[in-house]
Amino acid sequence: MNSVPSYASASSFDALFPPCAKLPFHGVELQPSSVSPKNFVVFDQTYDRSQVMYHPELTLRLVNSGLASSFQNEYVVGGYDEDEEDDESEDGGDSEEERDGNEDDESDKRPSKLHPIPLDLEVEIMNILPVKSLMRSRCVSKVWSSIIRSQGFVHAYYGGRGIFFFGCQYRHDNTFVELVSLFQGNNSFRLHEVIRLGGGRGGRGAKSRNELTSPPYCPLTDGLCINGFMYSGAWAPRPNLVIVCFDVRHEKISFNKMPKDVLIMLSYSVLIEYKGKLASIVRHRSLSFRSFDIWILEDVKKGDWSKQTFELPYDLVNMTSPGTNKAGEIIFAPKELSRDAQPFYILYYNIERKDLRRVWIHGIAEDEGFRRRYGLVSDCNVSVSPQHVESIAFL
Amino acid sequence: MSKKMIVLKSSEGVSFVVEEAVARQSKIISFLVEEFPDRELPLTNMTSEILRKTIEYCKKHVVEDDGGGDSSSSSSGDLKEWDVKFVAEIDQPRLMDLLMAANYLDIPSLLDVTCQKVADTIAACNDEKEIRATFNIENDFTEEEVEAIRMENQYPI
Repeated sequence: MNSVPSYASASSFDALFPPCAKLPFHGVELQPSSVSPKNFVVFDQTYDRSQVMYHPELTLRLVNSGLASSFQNEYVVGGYDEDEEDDESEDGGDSEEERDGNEDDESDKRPSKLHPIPLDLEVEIMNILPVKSLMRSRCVSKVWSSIIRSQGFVHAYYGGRGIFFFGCQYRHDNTFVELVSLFQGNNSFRLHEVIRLGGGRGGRGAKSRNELTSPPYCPLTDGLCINGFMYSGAWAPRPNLVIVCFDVRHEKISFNKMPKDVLIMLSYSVLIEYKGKLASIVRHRSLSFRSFDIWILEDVKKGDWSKQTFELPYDLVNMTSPGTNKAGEIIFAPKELSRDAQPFYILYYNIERKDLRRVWIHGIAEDEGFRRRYGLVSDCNVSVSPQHVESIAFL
Repeated sequence: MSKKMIVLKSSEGVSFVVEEAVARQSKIISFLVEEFPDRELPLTNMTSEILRKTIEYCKKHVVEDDGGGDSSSSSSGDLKEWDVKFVAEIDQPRLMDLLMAANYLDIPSLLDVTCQKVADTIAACNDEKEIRATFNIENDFTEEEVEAIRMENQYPI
């Protein structure tokens, strides 16, 4: 067998792999820069992108050893003489020659300031930590703390476990009720926790917490609270699409069947409250639509739905409905703030008159400086709260 | 029928001759074997000790697909038990080295096992001081900052 000297191998590997592909890091950009100090490698991690900056002279070392181990290399290679590296190999089953003496003091040479776990592995490991350890780990160091606080990490952590909030709060008898759902791994049931938060003065903290189980389901829409019930469109094993209905007063969950077109996956449908009833607006196309259906749950107990179809005078692009105004007109609002400066419109559709009004909200995104003034650099979602009334009444 | 063997060389220059099927559990080695057939593969960042441990793991986990009912294919329950024992016997500094070896060589199952063991070690620590000591992490927080985080950790409920 030919033997490739270890240092020569660096350049031959180099030709084969672009440095990024060879490294066991995922999604990390390598950025050689001659302004970087030679004795530092700068790790810059943000939510969606990670960058490693280093002086070009360090390239060979990084590529040769794998980034994660480049630090390790410093002490391992340093710990041995050159002539030991030239030792010839022995053939035969798993033969090996060890230098126990050297190996023992090698671990003692590890400088104490070294960060022993590569950053991407730290994230992997934290992802499998129990919550309690995770909270404790925030005190360990600034790096750990910032990993755990980062939005990307939180998403991944909860995403992996399938914990989510039903996202519903309901005010009832001067208390707030929150339904928290935890998805259990065995797919046979879903566990919920009903938390009643105390009202009145100084009423922070839970008044009661109860557990509740239901058959498994996967929510497809945000939750909506109407008249003592919390609704959410969901996917369930059988029947496939249901309205999950939580009765706040009796703390019961039920699955309500419905006509199959009420809830359409891929965000064509959105649940709103229409004149005190649950309604589903089903857009005929998702990105840009000119017609839509409105399904109204006329009778909760019987499960009677009514359907009406409406044509709009022009296409609505990337718009959703946050609900209705006091006059019962359906509101359509953009899902996201446009990247360019342009007027921000909200539309009101009157079902009875079949007329669409466009209202220009001044002061939002209409000039180039708007995003800069508010520090909005990337995608920006729009959230509209219909029928919001400022109140001076204390909770 | 002779099995194809490949040679891996540790940072100290020690050569290990292993069956190709065993070594191919590493995605990096699998790739290198194809690009550089019949060559010794230098693993300059792995000590002999860690390389030997990694090979031991790979030998246990190799799936023999050429039949013959070889003893190396164990049931998954046995394998799990073996994995637990395997990482339990390793001390902290070597566990970190093994973790990095698994990462570098791209052996997903070994990476999972070692990550889990590190997570268990963190979870077993009583406070952040113990975590820092175990993993040699410098405390860059002031006492006030730690206190502020502790306050956050207290749930209002």
